[in-house]
Amino acid sequence: MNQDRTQDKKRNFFQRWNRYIGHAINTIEVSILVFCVASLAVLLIANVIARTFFQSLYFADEISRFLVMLTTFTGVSYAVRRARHIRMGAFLDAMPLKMEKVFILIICTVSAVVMGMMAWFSYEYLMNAMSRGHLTPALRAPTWTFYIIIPIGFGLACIQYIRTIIKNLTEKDVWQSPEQQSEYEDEQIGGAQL
Amino acid sequence: MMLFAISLAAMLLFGFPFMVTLLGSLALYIYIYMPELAPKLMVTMVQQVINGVTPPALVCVPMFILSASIITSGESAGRLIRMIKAFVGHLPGGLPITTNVSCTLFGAVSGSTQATVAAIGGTMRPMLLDAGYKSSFTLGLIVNSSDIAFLIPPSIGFIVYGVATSTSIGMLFLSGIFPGLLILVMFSAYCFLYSKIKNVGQLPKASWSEKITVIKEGLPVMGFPVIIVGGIYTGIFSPTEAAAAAVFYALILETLIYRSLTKDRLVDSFLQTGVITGVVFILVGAGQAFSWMIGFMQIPQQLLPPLFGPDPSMLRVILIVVIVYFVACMFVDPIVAIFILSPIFQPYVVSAGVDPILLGTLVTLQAAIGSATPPFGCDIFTAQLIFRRPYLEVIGHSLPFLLMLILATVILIVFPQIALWLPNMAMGG
Repeated sequence: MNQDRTQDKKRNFFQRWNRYIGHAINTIEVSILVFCVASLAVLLIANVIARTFFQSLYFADEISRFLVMLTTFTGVSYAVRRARHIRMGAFLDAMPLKMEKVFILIICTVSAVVMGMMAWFSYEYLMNAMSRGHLTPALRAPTWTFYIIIPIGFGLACIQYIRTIIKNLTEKDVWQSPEQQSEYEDEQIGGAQL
Repeated sequence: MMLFAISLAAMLLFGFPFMVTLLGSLALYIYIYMPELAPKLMVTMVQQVINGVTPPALVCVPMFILSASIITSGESAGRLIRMIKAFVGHLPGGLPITTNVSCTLFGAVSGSTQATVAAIGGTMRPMLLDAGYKSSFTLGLIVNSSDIAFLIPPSIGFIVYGVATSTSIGMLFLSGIFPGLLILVMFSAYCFLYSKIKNVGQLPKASWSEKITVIKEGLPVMGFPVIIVGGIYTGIFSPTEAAAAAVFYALILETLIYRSLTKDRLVDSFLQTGVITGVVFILVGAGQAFSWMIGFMQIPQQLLPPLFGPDPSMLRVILIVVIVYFVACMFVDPIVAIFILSPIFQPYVVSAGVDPILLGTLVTLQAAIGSATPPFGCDIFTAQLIFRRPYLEVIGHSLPFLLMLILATVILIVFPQIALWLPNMAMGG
């Protein structure tokens, strides 16, 4: 912790802010993911109980759809930050480090562009939905509220890829993501140590 | 069209995330060939991603992942293994057979190949090594028997296939059980012979009092298959409800009965489930956009007739489909492969007279085989990640298992009743 702080002093203004924002985003993303999965579980279990003894909850379908979308698009950006997206890394792993670094830079640039485009067009989709003003059938909530998370998720994913590029350019080592040096570190796999 | 295929293959091989590979090559294609339509098509793509993520049937996926995550980090796996070991441990090949059976049952409990590799493999591998089995044998065994989990309900492969082709997920679940057991028997026979010939690893026979103790400890774990398979077979639960019940049962089991679940671990399970859900669902969404685009470009109409030839026989159709899925799943995550290929092939194959449920079983079996087959099967990388062993050691003993799995495919094609018997019974046919 102490060492952390002395290191903190050595960082320049830009790097320190990068760290603060990183912490904040982490907290928000983790809370959303935990909250969504937990409430989805509670909702679905409650629905089974309700259906058995009374009748199905009329809003269960809609809320679970909403929670699934929230989880998915939050998870997209979280997974970029932690290098958890599924890919075929066999060739990449076998490359010499310098080449791997070049490839990671290319991959991240392309990924950032693609994510940026998805963010832009999902923003347009959101605007379209807002102007149409449809309501959801069960809850009578505006449909567009379901779509807010999509441009945010893609946009954050884009930013995380850009952060990876910066990290790789400013530091000597190879970084798979802004917070993960290789795919194999820090992966807590439950049960493996039984 | 060529450019599309090349960009796809190149991005795939050079380690681009699948999500970017799919969405990126679509965007590239749209901007090069239809620039004037591009903004509209891109918005449609977003719409397709949303459509892909939100079908009601997919809601069960995060719940099955959650229940797997809760029990994987808890005590269920260890208890299950102890129970099975007490019964088959003394046979020649007792430990590998224990691994096989545990993987099959844990597949029925968790529905996830990776959870199975981690939970069963993590426990069994040290025991197998102690007993004198070669490292590459243990790894081949663990990777391949975990693939049985792909056929045993609740399997994410079946769910994705069912959603992509509007086939009943419940019936698909039931159709996977006997093919899964068939592979279990084949693997166990192989382990029996292997251990007999190499003369390794026989354990002392467990006494009856020991057996009763481990049954008492392990039996509650068997509640999962009862809830999931029994619930769907009798029609009490839809797959989503079965998934919710499984989560409920996992919580009760790990908190009240085994008392091993702490708050931190529960929160971590929620987080891991959320991340896996995000990673899997964005692939399904991208896959949906992709298969919509493939339909829009009329690729099936161009691709399928020359592939199948004029007036193909049913056997030829099945063989081609099996090979296509097998090869595809060697390179791509099975979920993506199933989601993209199934809408292309399914209408054609079903119109050739193949039962859609049999097709689903075969396809899922190929996905399981492909993902454990060198050089690129993704389960090999999972095992590498979990056990931190070099690549060649992981794949060193794959061949016998691969041959057995191919044999199982042939048996299944010749005797489709193995898969179809149970779903037909459930439908009262």
